[in-house]
Amino acid sequence: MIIWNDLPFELKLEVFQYLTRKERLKFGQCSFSCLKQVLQEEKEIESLTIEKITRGKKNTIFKLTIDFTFEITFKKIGELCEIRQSGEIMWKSTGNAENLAVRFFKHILMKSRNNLRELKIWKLDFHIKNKSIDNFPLLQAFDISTSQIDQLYYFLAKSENIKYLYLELEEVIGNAKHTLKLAEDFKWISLEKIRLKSNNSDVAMDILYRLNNRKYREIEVLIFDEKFENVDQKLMDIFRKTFYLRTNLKFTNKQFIELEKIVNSIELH
Amino acid sequence: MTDAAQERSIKLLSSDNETFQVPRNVIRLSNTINTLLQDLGLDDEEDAGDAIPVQNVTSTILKKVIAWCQHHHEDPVAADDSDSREKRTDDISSWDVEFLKVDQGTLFELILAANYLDIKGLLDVSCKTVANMIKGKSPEEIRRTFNIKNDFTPEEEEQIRKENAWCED
Repeated sequence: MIIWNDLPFELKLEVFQYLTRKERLKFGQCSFSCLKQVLQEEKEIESLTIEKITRGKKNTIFKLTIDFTFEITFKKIGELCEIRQSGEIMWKSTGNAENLAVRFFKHILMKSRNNLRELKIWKLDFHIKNKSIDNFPLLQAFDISTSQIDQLYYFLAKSENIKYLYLELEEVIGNAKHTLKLAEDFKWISLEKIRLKSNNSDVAMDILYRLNNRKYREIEVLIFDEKFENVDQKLMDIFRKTFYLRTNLKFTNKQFIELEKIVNSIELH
Repeated sequence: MTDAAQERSIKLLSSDNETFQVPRNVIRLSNTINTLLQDLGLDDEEDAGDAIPVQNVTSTILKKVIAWCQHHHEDPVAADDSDSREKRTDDISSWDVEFLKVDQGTLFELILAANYLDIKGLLDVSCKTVANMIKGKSPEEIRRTFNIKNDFTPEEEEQIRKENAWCED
């Protein structure tokens, strides 16, 4: 007797066309093979959120969120990423990342690197070695929150097509100077918009300095550093040297309001 | 297709070697058969000739397919609505509802046959019927309905480390 699984994929699609998106996704919850069938057909999904849930060292599982949330083993997510055509992977790590999670995350990155157009990594709290990361040819939007600034090099140095770069660098640790030295030859030729948020003014300014002589359409700089005082001239110098075009330069600290006025009054080159 | 051609019969041979004589104007609903007859220049032949083998369809299913075509062969030709019309499933005629009150295996075989013979109306109504079997059900109910094995099992989680070389390197 013919059963559902015997139907060729194109005929399953014939059935799916009569289901709403919610009904299709509910069908996807029946089994992993069903989920793959649905996602292969699902053109609307552009985002995938993966959240690690630690349930003991041997039973680490991850929560996959599309429109609904259910739990799925990491092996299955790894397979799932292979079928994605494009989109976004968001990594959320809560607490200290364990080796298994790190390997898993690298695995997904590598499986998906040729597909990813958008990558968000929230609270990247483990180290990714250079050899694990290769080029992300389609990556256009990169949003990373990390305390380990060393990570930036590995992602940015090999992704030349990034248009939108969002960096959140709080409580920065690691060898920032070393990393930034490596980063001197970043080929950010496609960069159009930067949002930089940092509570470490030295690091933030250093990064801004690296952006020298680029023509960005939009720059948003958020610096949170209580110690960041009396540096008006230094900042002024950097901006004089660095930016040809500013359309959205912002400082959030009250102490910078005056500075912002000064900076924005600088004549454009 | 000439009037004479419309009035004549075509012989179809099922996969289990049963022959069915079908009026040409009934089997016209099958684009596969239409194309075959036209490509072979048999559409204007008066003699029904050799039976056309329908290799993927059993006699049981072929009989059902012919019955469906018999009932619908005078239906007006539907416009190509591949993307424009709302994909409704509540517009199945009462005759089709009764016709498709069959076991699941037969329903899926009808889908396969409709696809092979390229009978759009039958394919559509069969797929709508399956879709209606999914609608409104929980994942567990869908699993039961289609005998789908839930492979998101706790046992598998226990095995997962052993199964994955990539996470052991």
